[in-house]
Amino acid sequence: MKAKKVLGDDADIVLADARYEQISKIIEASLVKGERKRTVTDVLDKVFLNKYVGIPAFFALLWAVFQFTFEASAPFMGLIEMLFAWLSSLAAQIPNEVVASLLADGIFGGLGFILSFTAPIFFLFFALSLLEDSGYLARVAFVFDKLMFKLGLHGRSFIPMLLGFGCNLPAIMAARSIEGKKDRLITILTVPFMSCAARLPVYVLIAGAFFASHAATAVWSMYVIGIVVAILFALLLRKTILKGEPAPFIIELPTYKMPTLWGSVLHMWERGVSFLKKAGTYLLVGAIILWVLSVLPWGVEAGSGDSLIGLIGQTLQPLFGPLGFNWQIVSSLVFAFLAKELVVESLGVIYGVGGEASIQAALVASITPVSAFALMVFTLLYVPCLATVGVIKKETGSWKWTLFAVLSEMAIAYLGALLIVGLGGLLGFS
Amino acid sequence: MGLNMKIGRSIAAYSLIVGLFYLVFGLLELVNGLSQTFGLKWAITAVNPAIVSPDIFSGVTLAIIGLIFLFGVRPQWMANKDAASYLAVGTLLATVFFAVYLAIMGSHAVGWGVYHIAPEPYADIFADWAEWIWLDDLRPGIWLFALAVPGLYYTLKMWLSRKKNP
Repeated sequence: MKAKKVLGDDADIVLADARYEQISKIIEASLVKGERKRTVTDVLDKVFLNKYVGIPAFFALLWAVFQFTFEASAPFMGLIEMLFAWLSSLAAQIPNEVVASLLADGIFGGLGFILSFTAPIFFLFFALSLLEDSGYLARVAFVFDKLMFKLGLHGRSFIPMLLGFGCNLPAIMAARSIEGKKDRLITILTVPFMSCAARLPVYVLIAGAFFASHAATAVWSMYVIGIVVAILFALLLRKTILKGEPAPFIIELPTYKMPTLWGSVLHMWERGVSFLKKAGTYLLVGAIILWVLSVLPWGVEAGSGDSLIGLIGQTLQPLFGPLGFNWQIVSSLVFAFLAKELVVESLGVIYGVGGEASIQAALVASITPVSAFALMVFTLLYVPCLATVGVIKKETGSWKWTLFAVLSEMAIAYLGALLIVGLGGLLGFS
Repeated sequence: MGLNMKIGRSIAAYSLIVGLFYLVFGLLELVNGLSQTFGLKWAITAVNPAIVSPDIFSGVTLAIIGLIFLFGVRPQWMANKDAASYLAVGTLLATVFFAVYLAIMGSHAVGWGVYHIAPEPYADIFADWAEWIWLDDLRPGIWLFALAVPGLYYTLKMWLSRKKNP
C-alpha cells in the first residue's frame, strides 16, 4: 500500500513499465525497421478493436447469431416435434392406461418436447463456434475491457462471462484464472446472469408465442439484458461490499483464421452433446417426477389444480401475482430450480397438450405479453440450476457467499420482472 | 501510405455509395419497425414493408454496417494504411448478414416443403410456413449484398495474397 502511494500505481506495474521502456530504448537505438506489411489481423483489428465501432459491431454479430439460432432452426424443431408426436400417438395406444400416460404424456410429451429444442441449441453452438474459431471471440474481452474496468470488473472476467453463454458451470470454474480474490468473487457472482443454453428453450417457447416476427429480437434482448445486469451488479458489488480497483488486464490475441465447416461442426457437437446427455439423465428423471406429481393423488385430472403439482403452484402463486404469473407457471419455475429446461418440460406436462403450438396457445390464453416478457427476464435472472449453486459453493468455499448468490439472484429476478411489468403498464402495453 | 492515391479514391467513392445505401435502408427498416411495433404516429411507414421489412434491430445492424463503410471513406481518400480495414470489416459483416438471411430463407423453404408433404395431424406443426413464398424473406440485407460483392472480392484477394506472402 505504501509503495503504491509513493509510486502512484502497483509496484508490479511500475516495474513492468520501466522494464518495457528500457527494452524499447535499446531496440530503438539498435534496430533499423523495414516497413512491415500489415497482416489480415492488423487490418481487421483496426475496426474490431476500435473503441467506437468495436462494441456496436459485436452487438450486430450477436444479433446475427440469434437470428440464425431462432429463425433458421424453427423448421428443424418442427421435425423433431413431429417425431415425438408420432411416438406419443403410438404410446397412447398401449392398453395399460398408466403406462400409456407415463410414456405419452410424461416421456414423449415432456422429455420429447424439450428435445425438440436440440435444434436451436445446436444452431447457437454452431454460430458461436464460428466466431470462436475465427479468433473474433477473444477480441470481445479486449473490446469490453475499458468499459469493464470503469465498471469495476476485471477484463479477464469477460471470458468466463462469454463461456456462460454455453453453460454457467465451466464459466464459474474458469474464474479461477483471475488472480485477485475480489475480482474472482465478483466474476463468480455475476456469471449466473449470463444466459446459458438451458434457458434458450424457455425463450424460444415464449418469444415464439408472444412476439411472432420479433421473436429473435426478444431472445437476443435476453442476452443483452443478462450482460447489462451482470455489469451493473458487478458495479454495485465493487462500490459496496467488494471495494477496490480491479487488477490490470493483459491478453494475447490470436490471429484471425478462416473457420472450417468441419471444425465448427465438431465444436458444436462437443458442446451440444452435453445437452443430449442431460436430457437422457436429469431431464428424463425430471420428466418422470413431474408426471408422477401431475397425476397424484390418483384419480385427479393430470396436471390440474387438484394434483400435487397444482397444489405447489397454487401455494406459491400469490407471491408472483404482481408479475401476472398463474400457478402453472409458478410450478414450472419451482422445478426449474433443478434445471432451467424443466420450465418447458413442466409446462408440457401441466398443460397436458401436445406440441409447441398447443403449449404456446395455452400460454397466450393465460398471461399477457408483458407478463410473458417478465417471465423471460425472471427465467434469465434467477438461479440457473442446482449444479451452479454447488459450483459456487465449491469455488468460493463459503456458504455465506453461496447463500448471498442465491438470494441476490432471486431478488434481482423478481425486481427485474416487476420492473418490466411496471414499465409495460406505463408504456400502455397490456 | 498504404495504397496509391488513385486506387484509394476509387475505394473511397465505392465505400461512400455502399455505406450510404446500407445506412439509408437500415434507417428505413428502423423507422418501419418503430412504426409497426409501437404504433408511433410520427414514424410513418417509410417504404412498403414488403420491400423494406419493418424490423428495429435489423435496421440498426444495417445502419452499423453502413457507418463502418462510411468511417472508411476518409482514410481511403487519403490512401493511408487504414484504408483497407473499414472496407474489409464492412464487407465481412455484410457477408455474415447475407449468409444468415439466406440460411433463414432456406430453412423456411424446408418448413414450407414439409408442410406440403407431411400427413394431416403433423402438417399443422409447420402451419407457419403454409403460405410462405421466397419474397417474404427477401430482406434488404440480402439484396444490398450485391453492392458489397466487389468489396468482398477485394477483401478476399487481399486475404489470400497476405496469406501467401505474410
